[in-house]
Amino acid sequence: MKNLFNYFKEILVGLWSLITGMEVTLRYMFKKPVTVQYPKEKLTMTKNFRGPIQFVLFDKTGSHDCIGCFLCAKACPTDCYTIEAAKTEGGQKRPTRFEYNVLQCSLCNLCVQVCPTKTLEHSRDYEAAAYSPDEYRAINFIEHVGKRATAQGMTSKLGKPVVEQEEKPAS
Amino acid sequence: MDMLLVMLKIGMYAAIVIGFITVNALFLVWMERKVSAKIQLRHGPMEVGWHGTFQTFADAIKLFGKELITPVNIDKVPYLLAPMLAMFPTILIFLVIPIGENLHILDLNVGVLYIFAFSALGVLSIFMAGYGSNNKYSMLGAVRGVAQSLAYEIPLLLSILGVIMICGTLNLKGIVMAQDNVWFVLYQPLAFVIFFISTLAETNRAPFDLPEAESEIIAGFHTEYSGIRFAMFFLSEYTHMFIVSALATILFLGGWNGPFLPEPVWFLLKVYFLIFMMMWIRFTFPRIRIDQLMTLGWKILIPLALVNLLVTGIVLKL
Ligand code: SF4
Ligand code: SF4
Repeated sequence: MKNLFNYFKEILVGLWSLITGMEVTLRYMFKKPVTVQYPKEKLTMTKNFRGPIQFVLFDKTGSHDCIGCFLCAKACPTDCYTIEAAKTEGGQKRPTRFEYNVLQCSLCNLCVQVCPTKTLEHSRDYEAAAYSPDEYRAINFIEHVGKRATAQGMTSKLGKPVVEQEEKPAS
Repeated sequence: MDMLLVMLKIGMYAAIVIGFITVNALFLVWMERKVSAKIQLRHGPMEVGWHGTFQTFADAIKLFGKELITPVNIDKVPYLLAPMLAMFPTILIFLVIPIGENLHILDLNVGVLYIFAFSALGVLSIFMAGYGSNNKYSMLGAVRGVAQSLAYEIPLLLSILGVIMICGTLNLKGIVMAQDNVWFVLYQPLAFVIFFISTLAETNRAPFDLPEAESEIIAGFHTEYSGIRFAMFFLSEYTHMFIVSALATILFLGGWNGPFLPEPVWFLLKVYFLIFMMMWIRFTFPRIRIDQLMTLGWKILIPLALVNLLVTGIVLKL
């Protein structure tokens, strides 16, 4: 008798657990999908997303605020930066050439931490793609920040470099 | 002249049935993908047509264009016959399903028997496919299919006996007419549950999809099939789903009976609701092991079906 009771009890308990499971999936059926229709909809990455490095666009300069101190180039463990700098008209040193090799970058954040003017940041770009790796070997930061500035209607207030006083990086 | 008329009629029926089977299967595949996507918080097909409505048409066209690969060491006759045999009974079963009071092709007075006789043929095609493919996975799938079908055919038949005892006829129309006021699912709830579980196993649907368990035996009995031959198995699986749901509707859910809406609409609504239940179950439960499958069939469903039959008999006699 006890066995018989247990037999039916087991069946009912099993059936109940099945119904509980189906209830869960039913609830999920009416939730909003978490995936997006990618090329049509795009997600914005969170603030702490570590994309490739780029210059910060400052309001006060209408451009970057790099002072050509080479600290980032020195801090970088994989030697991503090629920098040349020169004095500008106002006497402030500014980079004349600032190239970045994404292919070598390990996104380690050291350059961002070390920059005295906080002019480096991780971009939130996650769809970088190119036809050839050469397009990524030397990304021109100055050009890149200039394009973003024009898109936002800003003009650079940085002075023109004085060419004679050009300074090569200490290697 | 008469001969010509008869031929024309047959041709028309064949066109209707085959057309419906195809459209139904295409719709069900789309529906299955959508239901699974919703449950898994995805979108499912979205590109071809409104919410991917025509995705399955595109897939079907692609499938028909595929090369028919015939392995070398197969057993030719069963291998080539199996896909056709999978399709054949489903077409024949469609002839007797009454969608409305006067909407049926054949009105047999042994309709229930006819349907079960032909749907039992399905497992033969599975076995022929597995045996003819000369492939270990196919053979395993086929053997599983046969064992499963043997175990679940019995509770399936036992569960509908209660309904047949109540209304005293094997005629599908008669059974539906007997449910004018009360659906049999209220008299026979246990039988309905048993019937539903057994049909899941009969149609090889998850969680009983052991004959084609893709994580264990690739694709089971249809591993070696490609192109339109594979499409035939696919088509027959989805048509089978429709058939067993239609049967459940006729036997337990009052067939075409219902207020306001026209009869065929009610019938199709109930059928597609049951199919939706099947999909819902598929994406809720994991596949069960073969020993659990056998335990469920022989130790739980068959005794319960017998108890149900006994109680029905006693109540009817009182
Ligand atoms: S993130 Fe690291 S590796 Fe990349 S440029 Fe900066 S310092 Fe170099
Ligand atoms: S550390 Fe900052 S300021 Fe110095 S060179 Fe690099 S980017 Fe310019």
